[in-house]
Amino acid sequence: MDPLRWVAGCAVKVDLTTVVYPALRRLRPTLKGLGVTIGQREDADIFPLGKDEPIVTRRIYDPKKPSVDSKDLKRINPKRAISLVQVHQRGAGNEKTFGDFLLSVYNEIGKSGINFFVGKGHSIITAYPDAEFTLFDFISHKDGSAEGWTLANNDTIQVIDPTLDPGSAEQTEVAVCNSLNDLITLGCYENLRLLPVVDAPNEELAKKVYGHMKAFASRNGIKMIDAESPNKKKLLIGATFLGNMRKEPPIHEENLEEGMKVLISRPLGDLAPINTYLSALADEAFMKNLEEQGSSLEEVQKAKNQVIATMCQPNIKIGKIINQYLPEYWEAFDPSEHIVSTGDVSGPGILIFQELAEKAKVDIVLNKIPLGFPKFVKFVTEHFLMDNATAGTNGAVAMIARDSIINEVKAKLRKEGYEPKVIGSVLGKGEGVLRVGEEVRQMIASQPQLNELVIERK
Amino acid sequence: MTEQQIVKKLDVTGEICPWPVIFSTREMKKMHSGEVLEVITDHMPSTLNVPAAAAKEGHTVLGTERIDDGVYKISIKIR
Repeated sequence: MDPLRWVAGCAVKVDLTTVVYPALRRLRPTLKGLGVTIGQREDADIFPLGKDEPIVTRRIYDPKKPSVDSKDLKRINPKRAISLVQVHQRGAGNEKTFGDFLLSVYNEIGKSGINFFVGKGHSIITAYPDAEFTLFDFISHKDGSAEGWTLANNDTIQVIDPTLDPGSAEQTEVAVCNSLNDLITLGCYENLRLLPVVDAPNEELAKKVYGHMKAFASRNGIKMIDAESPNKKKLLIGATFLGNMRKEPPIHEENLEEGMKVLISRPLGDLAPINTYLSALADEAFMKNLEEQGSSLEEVQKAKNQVIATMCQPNIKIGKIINQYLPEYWEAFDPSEHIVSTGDVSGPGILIFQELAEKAKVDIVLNKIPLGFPKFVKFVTEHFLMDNATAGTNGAVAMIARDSIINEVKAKLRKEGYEPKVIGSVLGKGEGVLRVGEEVRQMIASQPQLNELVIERK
Repeated sequence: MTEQQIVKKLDVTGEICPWPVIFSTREMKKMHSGEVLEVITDHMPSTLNVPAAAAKEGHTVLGTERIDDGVYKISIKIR
């Protein structure tokens, strides 16, 4: 296969707004009857941290003929699960086919009579009908006294840069950092463990990816736990991450109040230079357009290399700073001391603030959306190369808190070499909308996504 | 007597963003005024992005129809 045709970054996710959420809304009652409760969308699953570490057992099922061993599942006796499903793109386009895909597996799991909670699910698309799979990291843990929280998340990509060797360290590092980012976002960085998800067209490439993952884990004090991977011979790199925290995670949306500031750890739009570069390499018409805009291939290549170098870095220092502004375990939240809410801007881009506004029934305004490379963001949007160029991979982390807290956090992030920016504020209780300026049209090409926003002329 | 319309098919099934837009744009550049490009895709977001990219270039989007489960045909008349 032409390596250029691998898909960069998070472009392979099943659309949340039009497919995943409607499918889950429809399936929830049926799944409940099968003993499966699906959680609301969160950056990570969060459950009590007991004295013993939770046991994670991975099982992979073929959605076309799911062979689920009921005795095996009863023995595992999971309380919860993190799921990863890869679905052929023909079935990923609408909620009916996607929902039926999920149901085929859950129907079989349901026959075992076990009850569990799916705290985090990740759904990706594949161009190959024979590459579909469902992967469950079943989590068993004891009840009893808790001393904090365990967080878990899964994420994967195909590659970040189709022009680089898929076996290069950068591809793996970005993928792993991206899986970790949701935990970091919640201030979780202790006792990190990763269960790899690695698939590749050949054994040699798979070994290289595993090798890079092991080196990354060792370098960052992360424990790597062996686990089987889907063996579909198609490129896929990522991990399920677990971590512990002895504080209360920043999920206090009900405490959002007028005047609170929205901070992001660095400018957005990382994937735009990559997609601009790809399009210019693939077709001379795009190259010509790029030159007409006053950019050279060398310039966009430099920008691409710069964003990849940034995306290769785990944001652990951000997690540590967030953690300093969280309540101790089981202590009350105090808006004058703590960060109210955080979010990983990677996947949904600025729409993460729309989701938050809707959930908390507050209105949020973004006054200025800083971009790393505005002209490449404009380029990919104008040419419909990306639906939402504010999205990223291992991207910026967003934080909302009172002004005084945000000022402290901003100073600490800057000291660590980040480029934090205050981009907006909470307007107060309202209709649950995100207000943005007209310039958003140069960042988001997708009309359904633009329809989610209140766009104001300034 | 009416002139016979030239219709060109571009099958981008199995391709994910940004490739359907890149390949369709490339094909449209090669075609002549009045010709019709039929883009076959099984990537749902492309049913929005490809017509939008065509309209931006001033071509006429004749329509998008489902031709099979999860497969769509986008017809574009070149300006």
